[in-house]
Amino acid sequence: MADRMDQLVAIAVRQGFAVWQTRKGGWVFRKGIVNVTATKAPETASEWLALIGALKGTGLELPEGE
Amino acid sequence: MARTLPIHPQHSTEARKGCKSIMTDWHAQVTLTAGLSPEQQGDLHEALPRFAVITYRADTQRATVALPLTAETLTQATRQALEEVEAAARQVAGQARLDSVRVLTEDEYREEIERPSRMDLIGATEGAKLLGISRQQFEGLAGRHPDFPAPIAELARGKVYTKVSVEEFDKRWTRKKTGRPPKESA
Repeated sequence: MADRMDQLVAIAVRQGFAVWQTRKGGWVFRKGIVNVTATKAPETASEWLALIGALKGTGLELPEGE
Repeated sequence: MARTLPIHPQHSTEARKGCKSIMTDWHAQVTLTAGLSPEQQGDLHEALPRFAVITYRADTQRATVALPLTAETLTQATRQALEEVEAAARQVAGQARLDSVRVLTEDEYREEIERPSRMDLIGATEGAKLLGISRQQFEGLAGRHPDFPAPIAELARGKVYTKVSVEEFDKRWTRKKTGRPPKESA
């Protein structure tokens, strides 16, 4: 899962998001005036879906197959 | 006491028999208006009892809280999402106005986010590049080929196509070889 998070962070950074992890283990994806935050790195399929859906809603484009 | 049946059709038969409760995975999105600092956005996560993804727009001060949750019915999932977000927002921001709630089955949500999020539009120049031909050839092909996709608009600068329609045409299209035939080998 950590690998998958690394991949997502790399894609987001390439597309202009500032990404960092908080001291409490949360994740922040910021682009312009929009902040997308996750409680923690997703673990279940449902959690991944929620994070990816939110990021796509702010314009993140995932390569096909991701 | 009236029993609320799940709306999801694949679950209704068993529920009607009353054999057992069937849990469904839902994706809820609750939107609220509240001025939240970055710290308060973190506090909102801590106040929520489950994993959440919060999208916050500073210009509108609107936050969308996405919650994956499991519940037997749509009604239960909706109520649970509203109660959890309202309680957390009240704890963090003192007061917050809930604006909307949207609840989908996880499968429906997955289908929704896998759909292309925007329509890529192209003109003759981009279309020609995509097909590997010249712009003149592209325009000729568009005018002649019976299977060529119809443009979705025609502007002063030319016809506009969806990128996906030209890509699909490219898969079906058999290119005719043009130019001088290769020399026969002796």
